[in-house]
Amino acid sequence: MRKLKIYFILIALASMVGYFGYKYLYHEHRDINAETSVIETTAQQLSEAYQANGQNTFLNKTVTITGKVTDTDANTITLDDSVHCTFESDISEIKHNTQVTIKGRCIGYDDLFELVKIDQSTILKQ
Amino acid sequence: MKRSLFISIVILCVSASAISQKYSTKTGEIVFEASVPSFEEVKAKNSSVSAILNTETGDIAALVLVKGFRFKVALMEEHFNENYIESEKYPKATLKGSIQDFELSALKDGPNHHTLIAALTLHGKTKNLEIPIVLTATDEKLVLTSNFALNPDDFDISIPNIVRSKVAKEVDVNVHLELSN
Repeated sequence: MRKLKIYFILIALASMVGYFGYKYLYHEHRDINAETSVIETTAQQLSEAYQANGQNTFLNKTVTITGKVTDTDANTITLDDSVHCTFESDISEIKHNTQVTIKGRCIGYDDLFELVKIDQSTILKQ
Repeated sequence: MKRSLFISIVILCVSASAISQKYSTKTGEIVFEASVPSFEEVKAKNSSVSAILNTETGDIAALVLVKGFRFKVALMEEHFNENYIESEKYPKATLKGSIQDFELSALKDGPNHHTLIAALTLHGKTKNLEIPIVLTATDEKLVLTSNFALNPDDFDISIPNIVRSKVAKEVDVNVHLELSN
């Protein structure tokens, strides 16, 4: 009877370790769309902040950006020639020269094209 | 008078064509893989690689924002950023080099094999490499693909013993850039 109890406790412990271990190893990716932005600003201001404060400004942070669409590609848009946003969904409804607000994650500053790069973008307002 | 006008037009045309001698992309792809059979796949993809090719000289510059590498497993992505590549400290990887024997007009249909001699800076360390590349010219694009191996040790990236057996010694890198004018 006592042995049975020990076995039972051991099995319960093992399954708990397994459960939490699995949850730790395979936890979900960040959901950028569900996060609160650390800043809401314009494309121009974000670019200026980068040039003034360097590479690590808002690195890996969720930001909300408003600007005019100056370029579109298959799944990317450029806002005010200063912020380049990559989307994971279809963005064919975004039109050139319109004002949009997007949310996404800052991944750094691209010196080659002088653009702040954003990935995992979603459209908030257009 | 007529002559000087002609000359200035010629100069204007030449300088305009010199400006347009750049092919570039902001959405190039790099996939790297360091998987070991029967262990979890170690693979990540970056779809926002920037690159500029000067078609006059064959010079090429590329920039990768390291945070843009996405893994299937979230924890692996965190470890890659925090422990291995240290993307807060070294957010960028850059490549500067020159394609050997490059001449845009001499490119033939189908794949053209060239060698790219370049300095790759990653994790704050720079290494000179000779990378085999394949160029394919289409109507408006110049597609550059490449497959090569990198050794993390060369860039002072140490893989802890506990995961050594699960990560390949050599990292297989695949590059796909669609450069357009």
